[in-house]
Amino acid sequence: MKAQLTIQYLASFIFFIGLVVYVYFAYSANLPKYVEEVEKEDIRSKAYLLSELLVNNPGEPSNWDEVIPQNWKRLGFADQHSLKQNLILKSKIDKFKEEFDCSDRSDFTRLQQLVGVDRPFSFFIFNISWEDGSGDRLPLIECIPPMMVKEEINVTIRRIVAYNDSGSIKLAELVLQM
Amino acid sequence: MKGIMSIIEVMITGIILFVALVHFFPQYSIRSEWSKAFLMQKVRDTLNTIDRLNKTYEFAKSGNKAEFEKFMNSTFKPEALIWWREVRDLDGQADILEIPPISEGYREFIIDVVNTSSGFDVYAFGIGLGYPY
Repeated sequence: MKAQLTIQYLASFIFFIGLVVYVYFAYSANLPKYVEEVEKEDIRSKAYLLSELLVNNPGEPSNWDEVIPQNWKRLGFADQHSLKQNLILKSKIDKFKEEFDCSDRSDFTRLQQLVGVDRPFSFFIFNISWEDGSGDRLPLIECIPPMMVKEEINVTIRRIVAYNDSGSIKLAELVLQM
Repeated sequence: MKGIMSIIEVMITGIILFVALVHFFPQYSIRSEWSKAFLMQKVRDTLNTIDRLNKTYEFAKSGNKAEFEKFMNSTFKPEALIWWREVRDLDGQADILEIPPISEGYREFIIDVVNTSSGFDVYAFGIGLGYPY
């Protein structure tokens, strides 16, 4: 029995186990980074999808700003008359402001249902003064949820749009944070 | 000698195993194309918005560079971006191709028709956005 377990055998065994442990830790150390990246991809996709919905979709019904809120099925600010990309309607912005107080929990939950997003998000629409060269931003919509949890993974998407204000086309920016 | 041989054997096996693992299971590396996608989206949004504002022809004219710069400055004021415009085949002016040095960029064109005194003129107006070095 004594002859079977030599010091060389023991050294080889320890070396082998050490190697296996090193390889295991080297690979498992990447797992949290990988999970975080997957979460980031998911949030970016959702944020982009929501920005696209708000900018380039008129909503359902497309004239939701002219019908009673009980009949709204989906929200979108696009101009249903022109069907052009990156053109939204001021009348929809005004109706949104009239109907939703994002700081109110029930209003925000209803908004989440109307855009089909379960995560909390905030969004802003700013008018941009460009003709005087100032680039000043005047808020048209400021929608901040009642409880915006500051998370490690945070995505901001900016979309440049034009908006139709009773026939006058102006420059605006939609900023979405998720 | 027999014992030393077994140590050498296990070391060689270990090296082979290590090399094989590194080769078949390479270390995880993060490769995201989102910054490129967002840049493309910005270019498309800006080009569409210029068209919606009915400023395509105005910004395409060579004498109106200051107007274009004012628009882009106001729009992308807080961001570290470089922009340029490209105009091709606009009647009565030489093509504008003023691409600045960038590390990564994207450009896109819009084809527009304008009714001038000499008839209809089809030209291409493009803008590009990029990141500085």
